[in-house]
Amino acid sequence: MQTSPDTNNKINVQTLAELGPLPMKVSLGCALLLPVAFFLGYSSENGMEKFAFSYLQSTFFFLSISLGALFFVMIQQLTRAGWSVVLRRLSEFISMGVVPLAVLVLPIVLMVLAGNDTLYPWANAEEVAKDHLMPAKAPFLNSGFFALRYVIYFGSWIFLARFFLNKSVAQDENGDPELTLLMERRSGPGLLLFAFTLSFAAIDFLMSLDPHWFSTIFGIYYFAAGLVGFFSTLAICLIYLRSKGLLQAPVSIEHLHDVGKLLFAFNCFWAYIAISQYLLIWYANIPEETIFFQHRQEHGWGTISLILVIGHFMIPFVFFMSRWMKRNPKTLFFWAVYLLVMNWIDIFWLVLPNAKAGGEPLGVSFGMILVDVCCTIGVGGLYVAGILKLAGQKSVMPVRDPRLEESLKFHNI
Amino acid sequence: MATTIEQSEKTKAEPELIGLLAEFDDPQALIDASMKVRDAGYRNWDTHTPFPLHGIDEAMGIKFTILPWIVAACGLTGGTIAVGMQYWMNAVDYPFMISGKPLFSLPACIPIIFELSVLLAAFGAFFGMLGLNQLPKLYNPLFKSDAFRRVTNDRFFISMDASDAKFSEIDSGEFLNSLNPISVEECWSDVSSPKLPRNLVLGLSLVGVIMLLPPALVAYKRSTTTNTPRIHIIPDMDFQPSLKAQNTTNLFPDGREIRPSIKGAIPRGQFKDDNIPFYYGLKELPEDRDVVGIALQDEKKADAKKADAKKPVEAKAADAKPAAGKPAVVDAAAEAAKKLDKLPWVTEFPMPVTEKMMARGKERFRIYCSVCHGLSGDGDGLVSLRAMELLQGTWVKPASYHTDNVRKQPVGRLFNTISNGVRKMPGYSAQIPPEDRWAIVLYLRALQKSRYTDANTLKDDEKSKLRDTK
Amino acid sequence: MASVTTKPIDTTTIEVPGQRAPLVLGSPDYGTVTESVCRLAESKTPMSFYVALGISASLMGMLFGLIGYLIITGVGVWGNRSPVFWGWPIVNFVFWVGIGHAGTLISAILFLFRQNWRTGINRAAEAMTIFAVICAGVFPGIHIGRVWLAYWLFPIPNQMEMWPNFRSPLLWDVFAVSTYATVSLLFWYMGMIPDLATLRDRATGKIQQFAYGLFSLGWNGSSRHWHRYERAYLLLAALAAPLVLSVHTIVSFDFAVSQLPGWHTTIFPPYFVAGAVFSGFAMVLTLMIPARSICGIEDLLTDRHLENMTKVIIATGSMVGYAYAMEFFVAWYSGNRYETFAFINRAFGPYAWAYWIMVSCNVISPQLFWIKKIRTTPWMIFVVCIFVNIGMWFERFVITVTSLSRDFLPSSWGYFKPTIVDVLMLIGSFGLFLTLFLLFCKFLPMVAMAEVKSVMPRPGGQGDH
Repeated sequence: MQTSPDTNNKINVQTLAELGPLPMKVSLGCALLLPVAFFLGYSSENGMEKFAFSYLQSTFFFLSISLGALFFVMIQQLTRAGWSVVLRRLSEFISMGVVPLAVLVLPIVLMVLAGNDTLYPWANAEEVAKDHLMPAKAPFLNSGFFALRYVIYFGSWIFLARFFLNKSVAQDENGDPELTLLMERRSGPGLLLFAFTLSFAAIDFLMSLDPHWFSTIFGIYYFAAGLVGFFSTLAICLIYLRSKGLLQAPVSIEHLHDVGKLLFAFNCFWAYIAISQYLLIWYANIPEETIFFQHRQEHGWGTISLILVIGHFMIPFVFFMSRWMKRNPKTLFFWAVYLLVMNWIDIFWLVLPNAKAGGEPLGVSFGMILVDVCCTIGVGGLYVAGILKLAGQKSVMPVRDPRLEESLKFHNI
Repeated sequence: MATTIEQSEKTKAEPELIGLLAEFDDPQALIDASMKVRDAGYRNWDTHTPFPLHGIDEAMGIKFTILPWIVAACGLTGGTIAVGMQYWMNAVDYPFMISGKPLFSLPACIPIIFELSVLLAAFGAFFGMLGLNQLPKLYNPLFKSDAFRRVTNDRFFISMDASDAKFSEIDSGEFLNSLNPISVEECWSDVSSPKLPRNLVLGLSLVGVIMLLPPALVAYKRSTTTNTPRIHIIPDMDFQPSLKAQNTTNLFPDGREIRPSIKGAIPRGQFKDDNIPFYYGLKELPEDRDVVGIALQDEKKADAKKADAKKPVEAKAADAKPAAGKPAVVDAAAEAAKKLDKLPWVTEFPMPVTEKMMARGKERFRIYCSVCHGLSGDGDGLVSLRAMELLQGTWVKPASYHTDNVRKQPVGRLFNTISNGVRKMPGYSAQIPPEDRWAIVLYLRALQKSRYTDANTLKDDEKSKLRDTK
Repeated sequence: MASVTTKPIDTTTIEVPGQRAPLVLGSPDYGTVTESVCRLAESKTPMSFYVALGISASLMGMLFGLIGYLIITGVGVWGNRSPVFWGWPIVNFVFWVGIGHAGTLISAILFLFRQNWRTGINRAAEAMTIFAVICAGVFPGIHIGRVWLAYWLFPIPNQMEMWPNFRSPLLWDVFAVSTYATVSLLFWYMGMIPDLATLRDRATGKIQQFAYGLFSLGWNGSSRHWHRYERAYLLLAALAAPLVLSVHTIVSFDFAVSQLPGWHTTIFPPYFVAGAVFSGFAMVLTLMIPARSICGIEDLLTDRHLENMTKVIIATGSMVGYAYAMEFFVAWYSGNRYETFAFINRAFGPYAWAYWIMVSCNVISPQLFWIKKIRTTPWMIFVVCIFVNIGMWFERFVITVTSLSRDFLPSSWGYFKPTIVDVLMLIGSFGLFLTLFLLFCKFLPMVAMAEVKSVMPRPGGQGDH
């Protein structure tokens, strides 16, 4: 609980560089799958649609993780959390993933600017003119404004992620408690900015794939998905790093237990948001809204929807609830990987049913999944490589955070 | 003494030593002492603290409770009950459609499944905790110790039970003293049974008696009768400002409280013009819609006059000459009958005639018609016989179906008679739906036919059938 | 908590990073905590208490009188007329249920998040939860018309051989609110058992000894009991946390599963929950700021508690603001003219006054809490919280009344006017609430002593909380 600055000197500064060059090599190797995915798509029927949607899915899958991390970092600062200090730097690293993602999302924006309507029907002026609703939405859904919003979103996220990482790294040097106070003050407005940018980004990039459909909760849905993704990733990273000797002493089973609890809780939160959206739309039964779930019940998507209900919520709810599951690194690792996969399926389920070729929706198929998996691994390689590069020689723990002592001593009740 | 059970006389017989109590003023000292007690191998002992002391569980070697499993089981039970209840109640026992929703569907069940799971799980947590702790236990010998009253304030205790295998008064006492407590004291059992304070007993008895009053009152009222009108504790819409049927009102200029239907309005489900033969027994409706009704009324009026005129007729029964007024009455009746005859009655049944329809007609006939007209349609039903017996002057004997007049009538006319009545006979359209009225007409035709069929024209099997039928 | 903390910052509530401000001010030891909490129940009652109780009890009496009048006369005594059939009673219901969210949230969710500062306020907040839920339960109860048939709402066999319709969100509400009331009561009572035992052990009068003795169930502070007790408390908290979310979610379903523009929007569940927490915290502060100075428990319920709660208010207030903005945006974005109209009508139609009261009280006034000076000055907090309470009542009014008064069919539009009975019943419900709260302050431990003691620094000991 109580800390005096001189105790910090006992802690060794560890960096991700200690993992050696292997992670970077592996992730760059994975990145090679991106062109593979492209050619896989190119060579198959309706391949470009499959690839374009898979690419959007992959980037927004990783974006959800980084945004979850950004949220976690800010909320920890805001609430003066003590227990999480040892995990915070890693979260800050993950949040820096928005930098490589800004580059990775750029092609999508360029496509829209070029008037290509593979992804977004509203990007094509002729289509808009033919439609009965899209002209009304044109003041918002137009390529110029879309590109501008892209700049605003990624600009704000990069700004926030860099701010919190840099200030925290600066504290590693001087141990200045003022920096903690500064971050605490900034995190409140930061979260407001975050809430709006995230929601509108979700509306722009994901919801407007079907420009007729609308749901006020959509931003929160994407946010909830992101938190599940982030806590899974965090647990996976922590267990991996501990196995490699990093953070082994500072991150105890107590911290893992807490990450597990948060993962479980936010998985329930995700289910809550999902069921809120589903139940309201199902019950009111208004055709313009039910179309969203209609699409996700036909052409094989019904199976994916069921996998989400059972696999994303019910199975982890029953089996991941127990304390034992969260306190054993092996089982926690299993559930984290499992839920990350489920989160991937969730984003897959959000994006891919919108894939159409010649007005006909593409059913879920092995080819589609293959392209998407390759694409995800490829984008993921670049994403991880970017994070590793940005993490560079920075310590994996805020070694001179004033609350570090409290975090190290942290004990669950 | 901080308990409900007061202990006035402590020692009557021989009290037994039930345990030792060591007092500490520091939580850490208690934890340290607990480890020693644990290591010394005692089993029946406990520590008492004013708040949950962290670290004491390990120090005492307390095993992790099974409570979470109880809670999980209760939660599961709640969820199962919720699903079963909703399914059975809404889809099986009392199914009804509402806003096009399926009778049973999981999305709509989720909220209640959740709520009942939580409710039962919460009961499991609360009552499970009490059960495992064997609470409530209002009497506890420890409460006799004055020092122990600070256990809920700022003191920490170790209590050692005399039932422990290792327990001995002297050794254990010394052992506890070696742990550096503030004090060690002995706990003795009670010998006298505890007494409740008198005020309390009186108070509780009074409450008990008062609580008996309402059921007693109810029982009394249930077993007696009264002449006064009932008390409306719950008004339950007993008194309403709405108008009662058949009353007058000054709300409307005509003073009628029941409003006549607006001309030309067709009540829901009463549109008949799409199947005139079926609903009216007419091939087509006459120009003047009301002609049927008027003809009937005329006939009835004439009939009534006839009945009035009957008395003087009967008075001079010996004289066969008709009375002065009679011809006019007969004329009116004949005119009305003529009017009815002229209407375009249907002569064929407006639907296929089937065996089933005949059976239905027979059944309906026996229910509605036979009481007056008799089972074979001779006009000798029980009601009629009784009325004749009572010499009811106004009674008109029901027509026999077997007169030429009735036999000649087309089926449409018969249908109309059942629907709207004739002479004294009221219409049955309100009681008998049209298809049943047609079925009755069919049966009536069968009755008529049975009277005028030569047995010789029947085939053999039909004859044997007739013989066998009772 | 390490022993070093007990040095200089004892009387301050300013936190320096790395140093946690103490949760209990003064020179705390276990005895003084017991003393300051039990004093309320044991000392002589001041005259002002009886005055306050008299006023609130007569308001409560007025409420019950009006309910009697309502039952005898019928629901026509309210302003509910076509097209607004859900008028003030439902507004009041949602308002009170919302207030009833703070207590369990503080107890359960903050407990799960290990926010130890909650120990000072959780007991009073939980009590408020229960009283608010009682007030809330009154309104739909009397809204059903034939009150004596209210048991038809529950799946118990009745003379009609009918069962309730489980597909109706109103029935979900019955289950949600009654489950919530039950679980909150259990949670509250369970938390109180050790403290009732403290009162029992200190009581001198026979009646007190009996009553506290009965309700403390013979608690003797056994560590084996504490072990199960803590586990049960944790489990109840884990159950109550999703439950508290579910209650207002289901209340929001009452509106949101319909097709009425302005009611049917998917953000309603989380938005209602955020609004409920928002109003609940505001109400807790409104009551606790005067109560803590009257009862003299400022050392247990410090300025830091107040500040933390104001932060929760900014957070939830911003969420509510986010939801308003998102609703407005999506109403336009949907391209649905009824949706768009519903929101334009809210902001600029005949109820614009209510809408702007709502926005200024709920979104603008809590933003004042960004200023530290306001966050740390009790009377300023009090004023802002009053505004929040008003704003949250108006939020429910805006949602319920504006959407109903102008729906799809312009020929059936109308303007809602409350009757005097509506107004007096709302006031009366405050009387009911305050009466119960005053009785609670008088007879029950207002602060969870055992919990406060468990987060206090141990005298000379080590370990953490």
